[in-house]
Amino acid sequence: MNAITTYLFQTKKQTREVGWFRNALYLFLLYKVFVYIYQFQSLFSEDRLIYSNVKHINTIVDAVFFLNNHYSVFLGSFFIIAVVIITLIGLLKRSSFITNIILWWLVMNLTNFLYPTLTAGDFLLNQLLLFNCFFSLKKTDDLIINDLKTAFHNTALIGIKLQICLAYFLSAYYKLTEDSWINGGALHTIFQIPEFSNTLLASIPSVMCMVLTYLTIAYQLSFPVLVWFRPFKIWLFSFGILQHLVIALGMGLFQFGIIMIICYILFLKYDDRTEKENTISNN
Amino acid sequence: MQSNPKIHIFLFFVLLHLLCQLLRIMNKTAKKLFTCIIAMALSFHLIMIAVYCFPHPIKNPKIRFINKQYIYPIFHQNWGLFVPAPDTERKLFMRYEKNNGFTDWQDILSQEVIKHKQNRLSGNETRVLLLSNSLIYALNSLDEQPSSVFKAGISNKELKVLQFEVEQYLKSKYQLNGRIGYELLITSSGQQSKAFYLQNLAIN
Repeated sequence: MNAITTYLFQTKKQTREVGWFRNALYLFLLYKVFVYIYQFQSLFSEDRLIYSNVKHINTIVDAVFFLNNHYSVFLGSFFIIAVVIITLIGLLKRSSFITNIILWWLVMNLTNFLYPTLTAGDFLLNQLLLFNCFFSLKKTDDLIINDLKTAFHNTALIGIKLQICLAYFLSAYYKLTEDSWINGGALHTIFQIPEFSNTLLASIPSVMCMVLTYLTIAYQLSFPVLVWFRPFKIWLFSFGILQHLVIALGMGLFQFGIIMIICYILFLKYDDRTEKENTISNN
Repeated sequence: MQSNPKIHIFLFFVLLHLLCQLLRIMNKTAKKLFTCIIAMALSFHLIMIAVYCFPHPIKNPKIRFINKQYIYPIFHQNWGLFVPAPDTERKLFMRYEKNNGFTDWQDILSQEVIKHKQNRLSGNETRVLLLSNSLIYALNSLDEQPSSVFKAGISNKELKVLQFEVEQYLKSKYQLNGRIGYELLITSSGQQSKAFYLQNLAIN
């Protein structure tokens, strides 16, 4: 218990990585907004392709379906512009808990409105934006507030890391329950479907695909364990980044691939090494 | 069973009040208590996500209900990525009335996929996912049915959604106005090949 309390309240962990992570997250959001604007006719105009359903469940749930339930082109445009403004505020390092909560709510509404176009990456993005609200990189004069902010910051950090580990574990577990993944043929099958492939991926021999299939499962299973040990990180991240770039550029699930790579930033632990080096030099 | 939003709001304010009280007496014990609360909240959140996303659904109906109430839609996730691995190539063909006849069949989804392959960053991913997902839902909803021709209207919701998207697509791409007839042919080829031909459709 003492160890956890010390972990939460001692110092804000990995402030440098959190800063990078935040910037990457905001830049990714700007890219998403660029896509929304570029595809405005298909997604948000009067002649949009999106079949929208009005949903009334309860006050809390309705809040994240606000755009769905009250949609107009003006409201859609307003949500997009609001995301741009708050994201820019974030990039200028002026964001606060309130602006980040609003950003989370806006993005939740936009993603729920575009439900048929979502991937697992969009749902993960919502979680990242929620935890992002609790990050705080600035210090305040009030000691108690500072303590609380430190605790929330560190909790959000560990929360995101555990969420990523959980995602990899669940993804691997799903694969282990399916025949095509167990017998090694899954990737070859997927690469023959034009929607999730390109000429290069489709031409990979089946033996090579089998190796990649097993490597993918092994990577996803080992990630939640090995990512906590520094010597393995370089191998894990190299394979992970390569894999997610293939997903992004080869298979065409660009946003999913990029959001997964962004998550790796929080596992870098550059600050911890600096802390250790400082301790050694002080001694 | 329905969850009462007033209870949620009431509980939120009770927690906020407790937090304020805690702020005033922030000493070691309070910190430990606070750590306990935070650790429990985070554990609860992650366990709920794990239970919700786990491939084998929980059997206890009460826990399942609480789990769904907590997770959906705010924390909804799905990590069954490419499980099962898609082994079916689906196509969405369309033709519309022009000059007392029909245009040639056009494979809408493939056209969008080709566009997306030309530039992965241009955001065409959303259009591909939209048409592809709707086509998958529509074909899945017809899973029990053999290949067939639909001459009258459609009562199937998934097909209606697909029909809506194709109509909007036609309107925006070919600037079609007024009542114009069109036909759809949706196919899946893989282990089990099927085709469904939807006739007498009209853009309103």
